[in-house]
Parts: sequence; C-alpha cells; structure tokens
Amino acid sequence: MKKFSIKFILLTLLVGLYACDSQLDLAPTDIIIEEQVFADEATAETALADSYYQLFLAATGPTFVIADASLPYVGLKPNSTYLNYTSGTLAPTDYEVNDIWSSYYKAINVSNVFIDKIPIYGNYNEDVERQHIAEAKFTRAFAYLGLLVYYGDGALTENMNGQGLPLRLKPYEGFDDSQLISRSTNGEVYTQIIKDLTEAIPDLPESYSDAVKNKARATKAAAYGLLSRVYLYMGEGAYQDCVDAANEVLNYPQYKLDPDLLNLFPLNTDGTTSKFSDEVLFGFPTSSNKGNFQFGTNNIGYYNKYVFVDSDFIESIDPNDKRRTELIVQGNPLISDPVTKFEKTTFKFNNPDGRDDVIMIRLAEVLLNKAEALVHLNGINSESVKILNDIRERSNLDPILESDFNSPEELLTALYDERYIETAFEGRARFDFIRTQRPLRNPNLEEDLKVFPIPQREIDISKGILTQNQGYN
Amino acid sequence: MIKHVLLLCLLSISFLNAQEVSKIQTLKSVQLKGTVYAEEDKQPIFGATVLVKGTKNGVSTDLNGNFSISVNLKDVLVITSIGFETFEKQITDDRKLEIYLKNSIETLGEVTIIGYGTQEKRDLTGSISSIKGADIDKTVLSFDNALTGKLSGVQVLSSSGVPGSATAITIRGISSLNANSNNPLIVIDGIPVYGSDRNNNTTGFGRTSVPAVGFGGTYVSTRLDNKEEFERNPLAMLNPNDIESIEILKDAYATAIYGSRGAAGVILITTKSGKSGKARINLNYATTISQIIAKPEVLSASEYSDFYNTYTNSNKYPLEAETNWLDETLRSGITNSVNFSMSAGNDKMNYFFSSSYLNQESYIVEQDYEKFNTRINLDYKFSDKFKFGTNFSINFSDNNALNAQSIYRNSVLKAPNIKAKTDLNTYYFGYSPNAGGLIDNPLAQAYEDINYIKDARTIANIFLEYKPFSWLTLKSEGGIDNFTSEAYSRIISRPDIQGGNATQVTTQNRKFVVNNTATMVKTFDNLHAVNAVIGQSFETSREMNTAIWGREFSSDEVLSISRAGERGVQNNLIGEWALFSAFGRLNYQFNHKYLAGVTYRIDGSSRFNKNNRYIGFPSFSVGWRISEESFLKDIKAIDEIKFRASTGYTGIDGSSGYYGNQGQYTLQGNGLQYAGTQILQAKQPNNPNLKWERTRTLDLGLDVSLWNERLDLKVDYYHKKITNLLYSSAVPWFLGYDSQQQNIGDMENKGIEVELSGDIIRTQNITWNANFNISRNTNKILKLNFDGSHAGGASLGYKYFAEGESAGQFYMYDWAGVNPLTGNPLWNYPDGTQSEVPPASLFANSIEYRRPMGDAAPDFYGGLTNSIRYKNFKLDFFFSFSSGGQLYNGTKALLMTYATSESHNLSRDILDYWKIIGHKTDVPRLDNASIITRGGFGGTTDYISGRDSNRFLEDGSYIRLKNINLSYDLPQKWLQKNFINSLSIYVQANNVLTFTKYSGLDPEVSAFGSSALLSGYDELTMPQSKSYSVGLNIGF
Repeated sequence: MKKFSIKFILLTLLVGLYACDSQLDLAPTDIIIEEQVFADEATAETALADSYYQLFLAATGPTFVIADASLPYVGLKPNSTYLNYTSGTLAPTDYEVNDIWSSYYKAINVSNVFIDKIPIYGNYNEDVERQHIAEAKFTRAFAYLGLLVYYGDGALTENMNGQGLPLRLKPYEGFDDSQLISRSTNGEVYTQIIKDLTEAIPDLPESYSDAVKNKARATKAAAYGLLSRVYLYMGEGAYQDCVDAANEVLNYPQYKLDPDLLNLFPLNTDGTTSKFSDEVLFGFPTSSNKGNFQFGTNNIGYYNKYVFVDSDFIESIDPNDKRRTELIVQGNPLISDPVTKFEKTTFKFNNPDGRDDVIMIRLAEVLLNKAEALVHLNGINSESVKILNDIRERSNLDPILESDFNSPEELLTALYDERYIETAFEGRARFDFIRTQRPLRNPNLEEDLKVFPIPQREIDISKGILTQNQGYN
Repeated sequence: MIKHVLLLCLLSISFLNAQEVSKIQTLKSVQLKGTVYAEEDKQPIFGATVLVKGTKNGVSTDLNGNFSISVNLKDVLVITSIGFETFEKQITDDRKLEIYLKNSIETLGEVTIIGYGTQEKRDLTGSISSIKGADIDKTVLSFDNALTGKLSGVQVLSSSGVPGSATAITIRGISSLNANSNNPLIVIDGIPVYGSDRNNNTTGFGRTSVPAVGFGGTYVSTRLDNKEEFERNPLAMLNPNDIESIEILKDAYATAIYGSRGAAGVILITTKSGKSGKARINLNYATTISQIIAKPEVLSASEYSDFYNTYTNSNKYPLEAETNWLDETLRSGITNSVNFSMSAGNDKMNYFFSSSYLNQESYIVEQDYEKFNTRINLDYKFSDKFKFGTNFSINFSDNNALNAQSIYRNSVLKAPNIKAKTDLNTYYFGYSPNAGGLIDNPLAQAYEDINYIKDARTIANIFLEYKPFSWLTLKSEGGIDNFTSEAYSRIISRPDIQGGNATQVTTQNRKFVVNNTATMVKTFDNLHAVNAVIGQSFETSREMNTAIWGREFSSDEVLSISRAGERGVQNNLIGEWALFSAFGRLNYQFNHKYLAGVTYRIDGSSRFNKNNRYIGFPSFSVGWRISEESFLKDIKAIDEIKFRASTGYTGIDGSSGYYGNQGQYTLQGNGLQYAGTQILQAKQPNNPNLKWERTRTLDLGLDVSLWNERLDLKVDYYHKKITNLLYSSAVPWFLGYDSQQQNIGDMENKGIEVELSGDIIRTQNITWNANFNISRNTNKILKLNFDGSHAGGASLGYKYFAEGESAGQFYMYDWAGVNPLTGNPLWNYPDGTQSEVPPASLFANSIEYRRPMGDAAPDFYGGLTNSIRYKNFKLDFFFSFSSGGQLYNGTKALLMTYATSESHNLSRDILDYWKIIGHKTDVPRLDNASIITRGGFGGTTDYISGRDSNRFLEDGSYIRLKNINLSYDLPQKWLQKNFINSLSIYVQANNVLTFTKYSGLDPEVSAFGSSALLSGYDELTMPQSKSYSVGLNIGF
C-alpha cells in the first residue's frame, strides 16, 4: 500500500511536470519575441527596416555635417562647435566622438542580430531570407565604413596595419569580459567590409517592386557603388578593384546621370514625399525622418543656416556653373540672426523641417571614383577625361581636352576639384581630403589628429583592451 | 481542522472562577448534571468526555456542552476534550456542575501554520512571527496597517491617509534594487494572491492636457512632481475580522518552500473556520471619527498678499478675497462598520460565515470609501478518510477618495487671496487677481469632479483531503483570485480644460492555483518523529489592463467616453505568466529534543529564460531544545530553551517583467516607417545568460520560555546575502548598447530581532501582559556595477546606490544654513570650505560635490503592546517606534518655494526670512545668491528648494501611541439571563500621541506607495488620521 502511494505520487508529479512545461511557454500580446520576429517574412522585414533606420540615424546629422564642415566651403558661425573637429584639440570625451561611435555600433548590432537569427529562426522563402541577410550585410558594411573613415588610424592614408575598429560581428547577448575585443587593423576592417559586400551582392535584388525601395534599400548596384568607394579609399593596390566595381554599376542601364540638377535635388516642401532621381543608387527616404514623428529630422541644418555655404567658395565657382546658379540659394528667408541672415546655402537640403531625402551614393560619385582610379592605373586616359567632361557638361561647363593635361597629376587635380564641387554637402569631403593629403579647414592640423580619438569611455570600460589613436596618446 | 481550533488558543492567562465548596456529604449515588465550557471564551464544549475516574462509566457532552451522569459522591470526574487540559473534580454534592476547561498547551502543543502544512510550535526550526486575528486592531481599514510595530523583522509603512492606499511591507530589509520587487508574497489559506505591486495596483488619472510652460520662468533645480495616480492596497479587500492568524515567514527555512518568490518574505494568512459546538453568532459594530493628524500651517490671505508683494516689489498680489481652502476641504470623517459572523460545527461539518460592511469618510470632503465583504468557510467529512471544504470570499469596494490626495495638496497650495466661486455661484478656476498660479480649485475637484475605483475580488479555494492511513494525508486544492476593477476619473469642463477630460481604466486580473500535497506524520518508538510533505503546485495568472481617454465632452453630464469629442485608447495590455513547482520538506525530531529539517523547491517559471527555466531552492535547519536535556529538565522555572539555525536559498521572480530575458521587439511608435515598412525595434535584447537574483539567508535563533510561560523571549540573528543582483550597468558601445541589465551586484542585510513577552502581573483579578519587540537591519551594497555607484533620476526618487553604502541613499549637496551677514545660503564643499555659490550650479562636475546622507530605512524599529485587565475591564495600549530613518520633508520644501511662477501658498516659517545683517535664521534672504538667473533661454534656477540638497532632510524617528483601547465585558450572570454569551463595549483612540523631531505633520508617510526602496519622501502626502472609536461586540 505504501509503495502504491509513492508510485501514485511520482506518477502524478511526472504527468504534472510534462503537462505544465508547455504551459510555461507564454507569449506576450504587446511585444514580439525574437523567435517570432525572424520567423516570417513580414515581421522580419519590419526588423530589417530598423537596420536601415539605425543606419540613417548614425550616418546623418552631425556625422554627415562634420565631414563637410571640416572643409572651409561650409560657412560656420564664429563659435560653432563644428570647428572642434579640425581644431586639433578634439577630446576623447567629445559628445559627437561618442555619438558617432555609439550610433554606428548600434546599427551594426541590429544588423548582427539579423544576420545571426534568420538562419536560426527564419521560416519563409529561402531566397527572400538570403536577400534579407544580404541587405543586413550591406548596412553593416556601410556602418563599418562610416566608422572606419572617422576612427581608423591611417585608414585613409593606406596604413593597412594601423589600428582600425573592434570588429563586432555577433549580436549582443549579455556582457562579460570575453566580449572585450581589441581593435582590428584597418586592413582587416576593409577586408570585412569587402567580404560583407561581395557576399551580399549575389543575393541582393537588382530592383524592388517600389520606386522608393529601389533607392532606399540595398540593390546590387548600391553594393557595387559602395564597393567602388571602399576600394578608392583603400588606395594603392585597390584601384583596379575600384574600376571593376564601378563598371559593374555601369552595367545597370537604369542608373544614369540626371541632366537636370533640380530633378536630382528636387524642391521638397512637404517633407513627406520621396523623389529619388535615376542617378541615385542609395539614399535615406523622407519617411525615415518624418513619418508622423513630430520632431523627426535628418539634423542637417543648411536650410536654417546653422551651417551654410561660404561666400568665397561661391565666388570660386564658375558663374555659369549650374551647381552655383541652381543649387546655391538663400535658404530660410525668415532668419533674423545677423551673422547668417545674408549668407547663402545649398539647395541640396531645402526642406524647412530638415526632412529631405538624403542621398548617400549616386552615379556621379561612382563615375568619379572610376575616373580617379583609372588615372592611378593608366595615367592620362580618355575615359577619365570623358567622365570629367560628362559631369562638367551637365552643369553647363565647357569640356576640357585630354591634351590640356600635361601630367596625370594635373588630371587628378581636375578630378579632385570637380569632386569637391560636385559632391559638396554630401557628407564625405573630409575623407576625400585626408586620403588625397590635402589640408582641411585648419591647414595646420597634424596628420595624426585628422582621425577621431576612440571614446575614452570605451577605453575605460574595456580595461585598456581598446587602445587610443596615436595622435591622442 | 483541529489545528484551527487550536489556533484560537490565546496565550493570555485568565482567572478562574472559584468554585463554591460545601462541606463533606455522605456517600450516595446521584444523577449529576453539568455543562462543560471553554474557559477562554465561555463557549460550551461539544463532545467532551466525562468519565468517572477508575471506571468505564462515561458520557459525552451534547451540542450545548451538557451532560448527565450517574455518580457516587466522592467520586472523581475526569473531563477531557481535544485541545483542552484534562480536568478532574471530586463530586461533593449533586448540584449542577459548571466546568471550565483550560486550553491545553502542553499536551498537544501549539500549532503554527507553515508553508504547505503545520508544525508544532516547539518543533519549529525556522524563524516565524505570528499574530492572532484577535490581536489585530479592527478599526483600521486594512489588517496590514495594524501590523506596524507588532512583529519583529516586519516593517510596515502606511503610505498616506487616503483610504485604501498602499502600504510598504518590508521583511528583513530590501532584497532587490528593482523599486517594485521588495514586496513579500501573500498567501491566503494556501493560495498565493495578488499582493502589493506598484505597477499592478496603480491607477493613473492625470489631466491629459499639460499646462503650457514658457521660456524664462523659474525652475526648482531638482523636483519631484506629484503624479495624479492612486496606488491601491490590495490587502484592504480582506475583512480583518475574518483573520484567524497571520504568520510571517522570515528565514530561509520557512520561505524556501516558496522558492523563487520567498526572498522578500512570505505572509501567510489563515481565515477562521467553524468550531464544533452549537451555532455562535458574533456581531461587531464600531463608529469612528477621524481627523487629519495635524493641520498644515500656511499663510493667511493677508500674509500671502503681503509676502508676495514684498518679494516681487509690486502690487500684483492684492488682497481681493480671503479663502481658507483647508477649512473648506477638511472635515471630521465618520466611519461606520458592522461585522456579522456565525459559526458552528459537529463531527461531520464545520462552517464559518461572515459578512461585513464598512463606510469610511476620509477627512477630505466628499471623499469616501465603502466596502462589503462576505465569506463562507466550510468543511465536510463524509467519511473517516475523506474530507472536502472551501474557503470562499467575495469582496467589493467602492473608493471615491482617489482625489483626496490631490484635493489636499491643492488646498494647501492654492493662493488664499483667490475666490472659490464666481459671482454666479459657479466654481472659479482662474488665478486672478494674482499674476500666475495654475493650481486647480480643490473645491471643484471635491464637489464636481468624478473619481472612483470600483473593485470586485473573489478569493476562493476548494480542497479535498484523503487520509488513507493515520500517518498520511493527501490533499488537493484549487484556488482562484479573481480581481476586476473599474476606475473612472472625470475632470469637468473648466477654462484651461474646455469640455473636460476623462480616463477610464479597466483591470482584470485572474489567477488560478492548484496545489497537491502528501503529508506524512509518523512517530516511531515514541521517540523519533517525522513530519514530511511533498507536493506540486501550478499557478497561472492573466493580467489585463485597458485604459481609454476622452476629452472635449459636449456636457459635464455626459459620462461615456464613447461620446467624447476626442477619444483614444491609451493602453491595452495583457500579461500572462505561469509557475510550475515541485517541493518537499522533511522534518525530523528526536524526542522533541533534537530537531532537523530540509526543504527543497524547484520552480519553473514562464518568466525565466527558456534554457534556464527550472531553478532549485534548498534549505536546511537544525534545532536543539536544550531544556529537554536531563541536566535542565528538572529545573521547574524553565519551560523551554531552544537553539535554532537555518540556511538556504530563495529568489525573486518578478524582477524582470513578464517574459524573462528573451529578445523582445516592439513597433516603433509615432507611425514611423522606412520606405513604406514599419520599423520593429528591440525593446530588450536577448540575454539568455542573465541569471535570477538569489538570496542566501543564515538565521540563528534562540527561544526561551520561563516560569510557566510567564516570560517568553525570542532572539534571531540573520545574514541575508543577495547575489546576481540585477542592475542596469554600462556596456561598451561597440556591443550596440549603452547600458543593460547585468548580474553584477551583491547586497547584504544583517540584522537582529528580539521579541519579549511577559505576564508582569498574573493574579485572579488583575493581569498585565506586555509584549515588546525590536528589530535592527543594516543593508549594504557589496558590489554594484563598473563605476561602483549610480545616482538615480527623478523616477528613482534621486536615490543613490553605491558600494559600501546601504541601498537608496539620499545623495545631496550639503546645505550649511544662512549666512547672517548676507542672508545668502551657505554650502559646504567636500574639501571643507564653505561658499555662497550653490555647488549644483557648477554644471561641469557638480555631482562631485554631493555626498550620500543616509537612507529612509530605520536603524531599528519595533513596538510595545500592553494589555491590562482588572476584573471585567481591559486596557490595551500600543506604541510603535522607528529610529534613524531619514525623511525628506518635501512638503516643507514645496511650502518654502516662492520663486516659481506658481506663487502658491507657503509655510508660515517663510516669514522668518533674513531681513537685516546679523539676523540669524534658517530662511535665506528672498532674492538670494542661490537663486540664479542666466541669460538666454537659461531662465532662473532655484537651488534652495530642490530635492538634491539636505536642507529639508530630517530625522524621521518617532514613537507613536498607535492605539489605546478600554473595554468592558458585561458580567456573565447578567448576560445569561438575557441569552447572550458575551458582550463587550469599548472606546478606542488611534494616533493621538506622537513623539518625533520630524517637523512635518506625520513621519509615517511615503510618496512612493508600496516601494520600500524609494520611501523617505513626504511630498505633501496626505498624513494619517487620528481617530476615536466606540464599539460593541456581542456574541450569542
């Protein structure tokens, strides 16, 4: 009888245990758990949208403006904080030094989660799964390049052994000391970026079903375009790859130089409609900075002239250049600040609330990448000159003859100058000037200090595993 | 159900009615009649055995305790009944006998309720404090309010004087840095119910419009805003008259059987059950008058007008009206309560039925609380082996006093030179004639606005018991706690809120519990005894909350939100969790001398991470009753000396929300999209390795009982160490986050508790019993995060956490008084210097100038109960005390803040502001150097009345006469003629006497409700009431 009782109790317990464990798998109603997020296409796509959105947050705003404001063509008020980034006294505790670093890494983590979890939980069309992973690799590569050009010690001056970035490729799943990793070299970071892009390209679509998505999400052409930029930044040894990548972009006939600059940079009064021209390979749509979000903005302050266009720079442009006649404007007419009231600004960001489409890669840049790489490979060549003239002619300038160039350096200088005007206010000038060893706004800025310092907090929290850039030691 | 009968036993020692003794008679046989009563409550005893000593001649008493037996004179009658001491009486004549049996303590031993079972008190090895229902003050709304100071190791802090508002119950110090995880588990009749939880019990009813604030005004540097919300006390739903006993489980051996929910202690509540015998009816009635404990002293209209005109050097505050807002809103509230109960039983069935009604007026006009409780507890034995029963209660409450806090606050603050009503006899809402002041009209709030919470709660369980052998009991029970609540708050149309606004919150919480246990009690060779239980429990809970809002109503008469001009859903949430557990306990004792025990519980919770879902909680204990050893056994003075020791583990399962630490995603609000796709963001990253907080407790105890239980002493020392403390701490940015929950903290609580009770006088006519307890707890954070410290913002009550300090420090700038030469405030800097520059204004590294200044938890606390009986009179008085806790007098801070555009009313203390060189005062010059104006958009910052300086931090120590009660029992002789068993009348006063250095009205308040971690703020929090009651108890 006693035995019977014990058996009976054990049986009850076992049955209870079995029945109850499944009862412990409870799902919430207001939130979605990770397993469900990546299981089906629709929710995975919403999670993927966050990886683009985080990239938008990281790559626009001060990240974008500082790169232009590091050159004197951007007009600044006398006490502007943007002066800090070429002053030579940048502190490792500077707000933007922290913010650019942390927001790009936030975007990287979102991509990492995606890349890690889709193979585990994904339960939808495998082609779409692969495309989604490829998109996340594109955003990750984009973010790593964005970081590397600011923080990689010598990354833009062909120092492949210089200190690059901590390469974090796994999602955050708790923190202990084993997560503390040292900085990979610039070469290793470039390799990772190239790896992500080349792995992504086969799975990326040529186009999407929707005109805005064609530009706002990664395509094969966008990845090749970014790749051409990566190779150009790497410099010596990568020029042929740069040309190859640019040629891949040119194989897609849907991308062409827009004959009308005002179609490329259209007037955007409402701040809700995205109008990307055929020239654009990748950009952030207005939806990501507005939606119904009352305070949404890309934080690029040209319209209200927190930053503006330097008058000397305007004077230096040919008076017939459409980039002067059409793209240099008055900005917000209501400004009363005596310092900026009469200054001019760029039409590239013309929405009063800072809700413009932000173009990140366009064909003109890819063409200039190719032209520049070709000069490095072949000296003076007709293809480079043709690209130069295609861009000049679009802006109503006379072509330059190949015979006018006496040396490859002269052609390079012409290409640099063209890029200077063509891509001004598009968030990359600082990097172009560093890699071509031309001076920044402060001509006396030491070479070592052209790179940002690693945030002091990261060095402290990693117990010194991360080390500071040379110029800041 | 014997245990329940035994539980009624009170320790109080009574007086015996001396029996009249006559002279010797000759031997003869007579038919003797008599009645057997329980001495304690004078109730007849059913089924007592009456036996002639040395013979087999015996009878049993009937339902009325009567018996009739044939005896010879000089025979000795032996009367026995379970739970009573055996009584012998020699028969000397044939007169009707009245026999009173004493409750037995020795024979069966007093039984204590423990988790999933009972145990003889003498065999206990865990640390448990008990209080009988009879010893709880029934004039308070909720029983937990009556526990303050009654039990060692249990700190109960009433949050405010609002009827039905929450209490913070802390058992042996805080055990989590999560502000809402320090609440003990509440178990009613074996069913864990919804207990205190700020998130679950708070109903917000804020105005949906935010007053516009322009640039350039004056701001207080750190302020605590009064939120329009009400945290209810979930325990107020229980009728205190239904409580048989409350046991507080404190150490690991007592609480580990509740595993993942035991770390903050467990409160077991047992309700009354039927007693064998004929039906007993009890009727209690009480009327209470309550008033605010003390009235705030604010400026009169003319003083107000003078003050602000002087300060602004203008005439912007003319004396146009004289309204004493407090006089208009305060009142003497009347509370009526009536409680009816009936119980009876026989060898088959026992039942207890009760019904009670209470209507409490708060001391604020129009703010009332009403509740109705009814309960039936019954058990039926349909064979020797089978028994089933139920404990079933239905409770309703209707709280119209939610607005009381806001009305009180506004009555204190509203400028007294503003009229209450317009010439048209409607409420006046503006601030004319003053320049500003957006404080609502408290009279309109009281008389016109609608605010209520109607709660309905059913707590019930049904059980089946099967006893196949005398040593084995199988019990299966199912319980439910079904809680529904409907709250409605309406602000009528007024100039700043045209059309008014309303919020309606519906809550439905439902919980099912199933417990199955097998209990084995067996004695071997009369020496070894085993008391063991194994069992399994399953619990699920579904908590639903929906809040809707509406504004711009066409008329104040339209209440339905569906008819509002604008409306929406503010919140719609369903949370679910489930807990599956298996547990066991084995207690062994050798001849009541050597005791040992082990418990183990495995909890599987849906809140735990899936790959870490089942967690075990073991505990061990030993005990030695040295008084049973031969060398002490013969010493008559010693009843018991027992040493106890226990150690074990417990946890907290509520510290990380509903769904553990799995990755959670939520759609980005604001309808944000990326290229036509909604954006889903991680709300919480997947963190599968996060562990649950774990508490290890060591307890050493000593129980001493001397001189026939005339003196009882209980001492406990404990050390509680909490490891894996969850705290949000910095992670490297390159991992994608700024900070995340991490298991990197450790904390400890060390303490000592003493309970001492004694019969100072124990004679036939006079008894005096006193009961004293004192507890000390010291908390220390051993490890916190990478920085070793963290200063919280307003949502954490500006509390500071640092290694080596106790949790929840006040972290403040050091106010050094007023410089009599300049009238400017002086500040102490850490380097020992003093300056008139407020350190808070040095933005760059201002935090370096702050330092920790103690916490709100007292160094020691306790209570003293006295019970004196002279014949039929009984006087009880009870003091509670608390010493060493810091209390921030935010009331005073607010009533000394004059620089903001609110220009609200002020404390009369402000009038002593510095006026002339050499003037020694605590109040600085009005335009002083610590109210700083900056150019541009900086506006003006007031550094003298923020929550970040110790100017208003005070010692919250107090001794309070919580209640004093005088009762009179009408004489038995008179009662029996009128068919009444007992009748007593009493008068009582509560909170009439307080000794404290605290300058505010009441040191027993907390602006943060049930959160013990954030306690220590008096922010114009409604003080408790003082009250006077008269009452009547009748038993039939």
